[in-house]
Amino acid sequence: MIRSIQKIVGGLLGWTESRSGLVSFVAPLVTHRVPRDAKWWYVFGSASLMFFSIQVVTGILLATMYAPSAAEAYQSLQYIDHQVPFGWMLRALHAWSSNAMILMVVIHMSQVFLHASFKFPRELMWMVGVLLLFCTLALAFTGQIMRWDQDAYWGLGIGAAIMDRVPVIGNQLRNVMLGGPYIGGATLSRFFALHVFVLPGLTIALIGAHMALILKNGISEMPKPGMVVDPKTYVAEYEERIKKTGVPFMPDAAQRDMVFCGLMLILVGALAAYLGPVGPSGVPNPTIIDANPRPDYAFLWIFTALALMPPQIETAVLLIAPPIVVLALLGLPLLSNRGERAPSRRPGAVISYVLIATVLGTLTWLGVVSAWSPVMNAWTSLPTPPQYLVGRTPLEMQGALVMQHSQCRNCHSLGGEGGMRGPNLDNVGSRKSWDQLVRQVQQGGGNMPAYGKNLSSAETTAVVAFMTTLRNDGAPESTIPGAMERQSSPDQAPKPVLGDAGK
Amino acid sequence: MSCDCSNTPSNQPPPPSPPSARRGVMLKLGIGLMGIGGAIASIPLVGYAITPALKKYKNSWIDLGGIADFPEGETRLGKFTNPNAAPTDGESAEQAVWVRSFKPAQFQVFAVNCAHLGCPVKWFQQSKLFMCPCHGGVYYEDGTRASGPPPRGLFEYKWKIENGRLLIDAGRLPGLEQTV
Amino acid sequence: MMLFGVILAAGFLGACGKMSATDPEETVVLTGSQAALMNYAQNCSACHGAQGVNGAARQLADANYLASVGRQALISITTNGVPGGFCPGFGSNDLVNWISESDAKTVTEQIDKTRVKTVAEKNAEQFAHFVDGLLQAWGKNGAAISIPWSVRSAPAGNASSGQAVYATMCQSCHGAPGTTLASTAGSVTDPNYLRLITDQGLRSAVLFGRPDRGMPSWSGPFPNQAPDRTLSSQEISDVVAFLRSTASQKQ
Repeated sequence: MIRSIQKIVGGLLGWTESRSGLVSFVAPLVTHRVPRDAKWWYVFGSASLMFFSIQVVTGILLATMYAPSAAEAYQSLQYIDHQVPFGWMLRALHAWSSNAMILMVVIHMSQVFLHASFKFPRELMWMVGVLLLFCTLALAFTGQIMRWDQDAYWGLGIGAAIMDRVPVIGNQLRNVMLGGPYIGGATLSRFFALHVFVLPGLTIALIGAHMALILKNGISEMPKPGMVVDPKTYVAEYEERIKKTGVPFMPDAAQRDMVFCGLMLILVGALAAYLGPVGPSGVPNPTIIDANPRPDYAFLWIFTALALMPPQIETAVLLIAPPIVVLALLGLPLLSNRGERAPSRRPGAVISYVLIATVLGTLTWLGVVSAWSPVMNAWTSLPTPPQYLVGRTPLEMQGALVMQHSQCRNCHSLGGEGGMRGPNLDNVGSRKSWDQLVRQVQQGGGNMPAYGKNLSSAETTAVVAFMTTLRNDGAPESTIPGAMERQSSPDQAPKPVLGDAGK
Repeated sequence: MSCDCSNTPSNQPPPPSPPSARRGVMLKLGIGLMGIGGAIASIPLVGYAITPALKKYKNSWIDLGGIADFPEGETRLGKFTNPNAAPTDGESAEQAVWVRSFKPAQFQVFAVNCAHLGCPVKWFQQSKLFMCPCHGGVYYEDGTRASGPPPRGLFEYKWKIENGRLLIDAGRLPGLEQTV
Repeated sequence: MMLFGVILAAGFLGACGKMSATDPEETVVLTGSQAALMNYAQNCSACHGAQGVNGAARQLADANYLASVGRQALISITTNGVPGGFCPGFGSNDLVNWISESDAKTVTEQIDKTRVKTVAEKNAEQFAHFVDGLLQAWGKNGAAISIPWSVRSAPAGNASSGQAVYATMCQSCHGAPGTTLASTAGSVTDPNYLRLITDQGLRSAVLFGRPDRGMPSWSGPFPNQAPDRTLSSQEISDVVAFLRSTASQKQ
């Protein structure tokens, strides 16, 4: 019985193989020899590919429910999240696996850079890899648009405004990007086509090229100090070493890939189940001006750079920096395709890497904090810390009201709450004199608007009187020029009362 | 087998294929035809893709409401539906502008889009400032830049009054082309 | 590793347990007063204090104050603000961030639902809900006082009688006119203070006091006075007239 089943199966397989040649085609691919020392450092490329596959599968499933129309996209996401069984999990997986894919691509690229695996003969692999990085980021950006919420709408607005800065043809470029003279249905359709057809197709083609190049050139070995790459001799030496000490990809290297990918998949799955889908935030209605648009993590560093750049150089940087970055990344292996690969012998490369990583990391972190953004509802929702109101005069209390009322705390914090754009005001009374405070409030300066036209002299006096009580040094409070002073002796004779009676 | 075999099928290989010169002509013809066909087909395709760059989008005069809706001394949000709206736009066809009335029948109509990178600015009546949530651009009540990264003041729309209604010239996303 | 596995398994089981994101345990049901207090925290607490006390502006967690001013006036203040005062009206706002109490709905859905209600009558409805919720939270057992709180229904004041009232009832904490006492409640005759506060503001301050800051209301007890000494409506009008005579109102 068993023998006959074996015979049938064997026969079927043989029949298929004789007509397709599948095994004889695939076998050399999966058993191609890889360096013995290619250990855990080499799993990140495979993990990127795995997450891309997850994106394809979850993306196709989402496309069965998502309505790519500006009139319906938002509602269809709500429907997927709240009505469709496991719809929320599908969106969560697509979002978190996308973040994981970006992370894996970045780690993979870091490893290749630090180990100088891009040197001869793998220059083209690096270049295709750089294109894949841009595809990944483009997929992430267009994917963020698919949420069609406030973040998506105003994110497109930022993109449009950047396009608009291009000299001469800026406006035309912007209209091409938006599919018209404003952000609307045509815009979403364009980005949908990019996200669902163009970019995935391009990515798949580039992944194919990347893989073909791996098979052609082989996986690089771990770099060893003193083992230099010389284009004249490298290929022969590499093949010699691989023949002697290499191991078949399947199972020696593939098993590590599988263990790592499996762990990552479980982790991202758990993360998706725990954290749920990302967005959508508020409805994409441009008349709701209470929006607080923020890009996804991968783009926060750009968001920060745009906030911190001096306005004078901004347009120039926006137009010049992207092509320079692209060319530098693509041209890297052409500039340096021989010599040492070990990080210990390439201090310049390591320093540049640390520098770039630090800058990007810092910019991202600053973007999370976004200290430059006013806290729009601070003035109605953050109470003045009660301890700052204890023992205050009626005028100082009115000053505290002026401070809230004039939206000071949208940019200034008090008691650790409020905007971070301006300095915190907790001990502003010990930092500045009465006159300095009046001047600062009325004339502004140092990136603060002038309030001179908007506050009456009584309001200015009140808010400055309150600010002078905000101090941590225990020093006597500044005296108020031209106003009544706090008297130390309670038994001063009352002054005659003059004034315009009961207006 | 020594007969006259002229009438029998020959065992010899078939005569050589036509000379390579003819094949070259055919190849060139093929490439040429494909090229012409492709060029003809791509005219509408490219045209479709880049129409937004070539088309002159017109603004039109849009009714924001009676001038009584915008009392003097106040800055209020005016809303309208984009005259260029397409059927699939949904809520994104709704547009908003800040209308400031500073004298009787004298207005300033500002785009809600920050002149820095287009985020929606919010008006604060109390401090008489517009603040942007993205990168912290701040403008005074007359639209001039107060602080932050914007390179200029808020974009303004043209306006006019007809039969007691406030009309603005709108339809395109405000941008640098519309310098005021 | 074991622990890691257990956490992951729990995560997945939890995930499989909920088919969609609107399972009962995730829905939030707000009572009227909860919704009102959330709106209060977002829109009022900056000036009136986190719990309705100890803010720079009037104490709102004061049942007698709420009862005396009454529902209609509170709705009007929420909508239009305090005339001549710092309190802004919220009536012209898009109430995107206002939360309303309702049947079992997620908070997100409520915000979406509320957003559509941008027309004036929907705002009015929202503010009425808000005031009712606030009265529920802070207005229990409040008794409306017999003295009219509004300057419009108050008797006309006499500045010179007011000066005498001030000297006996206010001066021990607020100091003689034109001076400020360092150790006590601070001057109320500071011209800048008087420019910033309306007659209504002064009347309310005297009438209701600031229980949270130790300032007595009209019913006392006042320092150095008999414990049953109270202020009459006329006396309050007089003292307001007196204060106003020392400096003009703003605008």
